[in-house]
Amino acid sequence: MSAPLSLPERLPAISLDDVSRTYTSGGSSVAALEQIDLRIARGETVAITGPSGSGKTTLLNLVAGLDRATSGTITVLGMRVDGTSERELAEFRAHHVGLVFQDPHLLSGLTALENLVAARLPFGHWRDLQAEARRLLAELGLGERLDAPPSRLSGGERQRVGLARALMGQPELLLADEPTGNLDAATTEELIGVLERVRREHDLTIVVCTHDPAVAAFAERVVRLVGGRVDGQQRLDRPGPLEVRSLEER
Amino acid sequence: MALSGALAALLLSGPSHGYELHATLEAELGSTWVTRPAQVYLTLGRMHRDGLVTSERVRQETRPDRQRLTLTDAGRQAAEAWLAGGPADELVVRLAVARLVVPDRVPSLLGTMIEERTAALHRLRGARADDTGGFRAEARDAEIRAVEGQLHWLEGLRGHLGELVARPRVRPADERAAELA
Repeated sequence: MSAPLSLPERLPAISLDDVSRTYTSGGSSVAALEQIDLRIARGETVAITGPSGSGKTTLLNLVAGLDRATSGTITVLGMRVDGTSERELAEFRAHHVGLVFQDPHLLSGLTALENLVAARLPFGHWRDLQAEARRLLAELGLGERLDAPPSRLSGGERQRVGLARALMGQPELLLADEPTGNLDAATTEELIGVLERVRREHDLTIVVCTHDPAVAAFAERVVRLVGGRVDGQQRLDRPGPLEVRSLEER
Repeated sequence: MALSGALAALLLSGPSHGYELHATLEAELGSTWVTRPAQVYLTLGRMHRDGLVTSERVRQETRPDRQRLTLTDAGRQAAEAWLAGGPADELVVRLAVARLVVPDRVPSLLGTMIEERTAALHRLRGARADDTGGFRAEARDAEIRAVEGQLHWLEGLRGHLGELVARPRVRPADERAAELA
């Protein structure tokens, strides 16, 4: 387990203060999130769990600036997300935030390498982007699959390409929404291993939304949402003894 | 130990006797409950020796006498300790018994179990990095998969917790037969 980081480094990467999000449709309104107060420190890995409809994705979308809170304030990496224009938000995401979704939505006509480069073309030179994409794909175990189109990649490989794409531009924050939702148990475990490596080797704050408790255990802290509210939190980063029981004790 | 913890916890709902305790677990857990009645009596004897239960002989007209067992304060503590923090490989029995004796506490027990198993999985994954050579990584993976399975099972229970707690207990076969006689 890592030693506690010094105070300045543990300043919040994400702050939600009294955040609510209400959707209105046909005269009735549904509260997707209600009065959420949450701090996520820089460098922290947090899993947001909860049943379907508990507000996980809404929370992630608000942090990413893909959706707007009905009330409350959201600060991400020092920037107030609410009250910022769409254009500024897009710019902010491009330079600071990596997004991973359940389906990586890779472009079918491009190779794995080209998928990474194409997403960043507005922000760099082709040659630099290609070098970065090669490095990232190799790091995530896809060094031999650079030229494969998505149709020739397995589900786990496609998701790793999606993760590599999210890491282009060295974001400080990685937001993942059900990243293992389409994967079987073995591939989920493999992706968790990749995320572990990414967490160690990149200086990242990671927020993962998942309904899968096995994925949540990857985090340092688990925040459980129920009915749009924080139902409980659990810290996992404290070292603890491994359960070791001899055969005689069983 | 699983059996003494389970028997003590069952006695939280009131005095009973060995055969009834065994029959209750057998009725609730079906063929997954593989403990023989003799093992139950043996364990209850040890619990009596250790001051976890008191015993009173109850005469029956047509059947052998029964030992009516009542939980002592120490037994109550043992029962509570087992329900709240018994071994992880006894999750099924702990929840099955909790459903019968403390149904209102099943949601919080389930939450505690999920947190404990989540922390265990986190530690196992952390330890895996040091597992090199021999069969170590594979052995660790087996543990990781087992805990993942427990977590998925526990999380699945959350989805129908209300129904699970409200579901009536299964009455042992001989109890039904006695009623028909």
